[in-house]
This record gives sequence, C-alpha cells and structure tokens, in this order.
Amino acid sequence: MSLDLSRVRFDRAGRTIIDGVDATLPSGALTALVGPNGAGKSTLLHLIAAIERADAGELHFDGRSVPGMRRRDRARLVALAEQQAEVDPQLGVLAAVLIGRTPHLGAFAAAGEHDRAVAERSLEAVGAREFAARPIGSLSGGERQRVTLARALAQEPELLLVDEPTNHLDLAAQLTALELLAGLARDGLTVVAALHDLSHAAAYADHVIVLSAGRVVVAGDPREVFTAELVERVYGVRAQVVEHPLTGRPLIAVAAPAASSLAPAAVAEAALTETRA
Amino acid sequence: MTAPAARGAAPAAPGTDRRVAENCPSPAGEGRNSATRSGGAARTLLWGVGLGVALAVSIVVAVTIGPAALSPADVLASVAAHLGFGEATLSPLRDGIVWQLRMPRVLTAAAVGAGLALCGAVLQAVTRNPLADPYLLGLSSGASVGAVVVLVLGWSLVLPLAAFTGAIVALLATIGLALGAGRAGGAAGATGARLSPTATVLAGIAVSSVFGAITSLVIFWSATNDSYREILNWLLGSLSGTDWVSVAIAGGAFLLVGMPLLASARTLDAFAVGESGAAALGVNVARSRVLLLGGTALLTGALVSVSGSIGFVGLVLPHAVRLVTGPGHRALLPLSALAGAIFLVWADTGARTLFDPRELPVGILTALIGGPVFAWLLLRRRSLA
Repeated sequence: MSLDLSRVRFDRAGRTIIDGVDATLPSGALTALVGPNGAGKSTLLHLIAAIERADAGELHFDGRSVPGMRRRDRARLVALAEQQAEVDPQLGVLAAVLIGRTPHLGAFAAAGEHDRAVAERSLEAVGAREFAARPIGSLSGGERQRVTLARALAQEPELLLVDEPTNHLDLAAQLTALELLAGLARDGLTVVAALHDLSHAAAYADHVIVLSAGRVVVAGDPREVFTAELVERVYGVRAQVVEHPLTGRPLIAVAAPAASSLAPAAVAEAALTETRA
Repeated sequence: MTAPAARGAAPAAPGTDRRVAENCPSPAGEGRNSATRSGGAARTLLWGVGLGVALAVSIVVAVTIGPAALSPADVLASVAAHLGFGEATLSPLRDGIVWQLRMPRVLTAAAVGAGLALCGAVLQAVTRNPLADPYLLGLSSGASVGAVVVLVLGWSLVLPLAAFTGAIVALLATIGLALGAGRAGGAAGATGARLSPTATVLAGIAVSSVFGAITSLVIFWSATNDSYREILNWLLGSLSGTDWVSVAIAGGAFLLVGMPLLASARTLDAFAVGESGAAALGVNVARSRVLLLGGTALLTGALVSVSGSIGFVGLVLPHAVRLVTGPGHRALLPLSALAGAIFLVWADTGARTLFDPRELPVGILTALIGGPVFAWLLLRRRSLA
C-alpha cells in the first residue's frame, strides 16, 4: 500500500512545471514535500488530487489509478487542504466543514445525522469544536487553517494532501498543526504535506521528498536526506545540520551565502545543472 | 512543546480504524445539536410554506388593485370559472379586467421576479461575488439588445432566443473584461487570473452602458412615435402590455431552466470553498460553471424579452433571504425565488398604480430599493474582507 508516482510530467504555458517525477510515498505515514519556491510542490499536490491532469506519467494509490477514477469516487479517497483557499467569509464553520461531505451525498439529499456527526468529529479532531458556530470571516489565520483541515477530514479520505499547513501561523500554532498531521498519520491516514521549514519536515515527517525545478532531488528518511551539502545545493544557502537540543531530530541551520548577494533561484539552478552534468 | 515522540514507532497497521478521532463528542452536546439541526430544516420549510402562501395572497390581492374596484372574491370567482370549476358570475367587462389584463400581468411579474432572484443567487455563487446580479453584470442589457433588434426586424418568434444570445454575449464580454482587468492590474497570481468582485462589477457597468446605448439607438432609429417611452421601458424594465403569451414565456422559462438551477444547490455550496476546493470535492468545475452561467443567461434572456431589464431583483432578494437562512443553497435558492416573485408582484403593482393613470417603469422602484442595498453590501464587504 502506497502512493506511487511514475514519470509524472506537467507543462503549463510551454513551461515544464513537473519534469518526470518518480516517487513512492508510504501509506499511513506523513510525507513532507520540500523545495524552493516554484519547485512544483503545490502543482504536484494538485496532480495527485487530479485537479490538474498530468501531461504524462501515472499516479496510483493502493494500486488504483487516481486520475482514472470517477470524480466522486476520487473525492472520497483523496482530500486536499489548501491554505490560501478563499472561503465565503459569511459561511459558518460547521457549514463549511459539512461541504466536505459533498462526495458522500446524492445530488438532492440533505446532509443527514451521520454527516453532521462526521463533520463534528472532524472539528473535534482539529481542536476547532468550540468555534463551530462562528462565521469563517471572524476566525484568525490559524483557526481558519484548522477548519480547512477539518473540511478535508470530513471527506473521510484515505489520502490527505496539505499545502503549507504552517503558513502564517505563530510558533505554537505551527507545531500544533504538525503534531496534528503526524497524529493523523499515526492513526493510519496517508498524509502528504508541502512544507517550507526543513527542520519541521525533519522533526515530523516519516518520509521526505526534496523537489527542485520540478524534479525529485532526493527522497527518503529525513535523518538521511537532510545534509548540509543537499541544502546548500538546492537552496543556495550556507547550511549546517545539527542535533535539535530538545528533540534529537535534525535541525537545519541556514545562513546567507558568504560574500554573495542572495539569488536563491539562480544559485539553485546552477547547482542542479552542475550535479546533473 | 512536546517532542514528536517516537515517530519511528510504526504507523498504525492497516485495518485499524483510519477514520478520524473516534473519540466522539459527548452525548449531551450531540442531543443539543440535533435539536437545532432539525430546527434549521423545519424553519426553512416553514419559511417556504409561509412565502408560498404570501405569494398566493399577494397575487390575488394585487389583481384587485387598480382603477376598477374588484374584491378578492371576484378574482377567485373569475379564476375558478376560467379553470372550469364553476359558473362565470362576473360581468364580461370585469371578468376581462381580471383574466385578460391584470392576472397575466401579475403572474408575469411573479415569474420574472422569481427568475431574476434565482439568477442572482446562482450568479453570486458561481462568480463568488456577492455583488453579482443579471442587471449589474450586463446580462439584462445584452438581452434587451437582442430582443429589441429582432422586434425591429419583425422576427418576434425568435425573441427569447435573441434575448438569450444577447445575454450570453454580454456575460462573456463582462467576464472577459473583468479577467483582462485583473490581469492588467497584476491581481492575478501564478495560478492564473481570477474574477475579482470589483473588476466584475466595473466590467458589468461598462458592458451594460454600451448595450443600453445600443438598445436606445436601435429604438430611436426605428420607432416612429413614442420612442422615449419605449426606450425607458426596455432600459428600466416594465410589465405594461403583458399578456398570456408573456406568462407562457416567463413561466415556461422558469420551469425549463429555473427548476434545474434550483436542483444545483449542492454544486453551488461547493463553489463556496473556491475552485480547486470544489474540484477536490468531486465537482466538475468547468462543466458546472458553463451550465450554470449558460442557464442564468438563458433564463435572464427569456425574462428580459417580456419585461425589459429590471434591475436589482437578483441582488436584493438573495441577500435578504440569506439574512434569514444563512448561505446554504438548498434553502437559499427556492426561498429567493419565492421572495423575488412576491417582491416584483408588489413593485409592479406600485408601478402601475402610484401615479395612475400614468405608469412608472417598474425598474425605477426596484432601483430605489436596490441601490441602497447595493451600497450597504459594498460597505459590509469591506468590514468582512
């Protein structure tokens, strides 16, 4: 049981965004998708959810082709929580989470007792039960993200895709969000999260995929993947990997490259071309 | 913060419950919520029945109002006689006033009001824009051009079709312009242009100005007598001169197009979480959008071909209903349609009686109410954004 990507390619407007990605993501685990801006993390999540169609390659979850499924079946299997999602600010929290039940409901049936129970349980799971009655517009950024996650959970998916779950959150809220995702993975859900903070990925993920310019640079156990050399090569910064004094996980310390104005994209690209050559 | 304890310790084996947090909410909380739950559904039903009764009463009472005095009993007697449930008791003259003059007009008003309110609610959801309305987005003006052109050419058989074509052209122009404006303004992100509410309304103003001017030009160029009155009736909307054919067009369009739109509540709800959000929920976003926008253009076209472009009905009523029901479309769509029907029946009754014997284009009254509501929405949007 795993999510398998095979030679996935995606072009848009003549540019190749995802350039032949091969990856196997373990199920019942938290996989972190990391890489510089524009590496293709969000696009890859969209391709896995089949919101966008890959131009080539195959995506299988548990042996079943994800893009080949009927929309409704797919939405019962795969959920996507996007943080920049613009939700109608007047919508109540419980109503917003109930929308996650859409793939389980017929065209005319109203949400029933069971759907409400699932929605409430999802709110409970993300610790958002106390603001169930408030409108989305009145929530803080962190609260809103939890509601977005609750909506995805209300789909009762087997595969949960999360785009930048820690964006715009304060320190404690970031850790809470990551703890939550790790906990869901422990309970058997397959979770894929696009993350920016490498130390977060190292601390919480079971599996890491490092993406750069639409390609997989390296994938594997975070304790092996994150090396100073890799971080310097992919991000064009100075880096050192040390042991986190509190958790014992890898802590990736970074600094601007010495005597160089920081131009991460250019540096990263140059570094990549070098390694490929 | 606690350390991510023993993450190496294997994820739960497959087959263990993968559902989220089975530690259920307390039974007490469950009970309380189920009470409010069924309360919500019952409340919607109650509002539906209440508005339905109010609409029936409004229709009967509105028919009694006018220069010739009639009682509700007269109206009911005439209707019963024409439907074959009794003998004609009214004089032919009074019966003609009920059945040939006022009843078709009131029923047309009801169908047009219901359809416009429904179109407004659907447009607001699909464009994710609380300011959307067939009039403000230019659909009504486009439909007017289509209607006026075929009337001038004498092809009145294709009237609804031409109005629909005009509405579609105007809608495409508005959306294209709004997307272009978004792109030019740099508002579009890397993920492509999106329709900003402000750009959409501005584009709608530009499009309706142009189409309104074309309507006026065509009438002025072709008409021989009272062209000003006719121009006003198309630009501001009027139900004068409606007959049973108008009822058939407006009512038929509501049944054929409005009913399927009423059934799209689930999809419209999903649009509330954004386009990729809706797609991730299994909605075919591209197809739904084409069908829903096409449906509103078709319905608007048919309605405008009998009434001209009556403004703000599609803006005011859905927002008024939302205050009562909240944003869920299963309640919002049918209640907006009912409320729109009642609203336009009374607005039109006012239009034909306030300055009797002169008649006011009904759009003047709807704008008098709709303009302030539009302003209120603008102010509230700022506080909620």
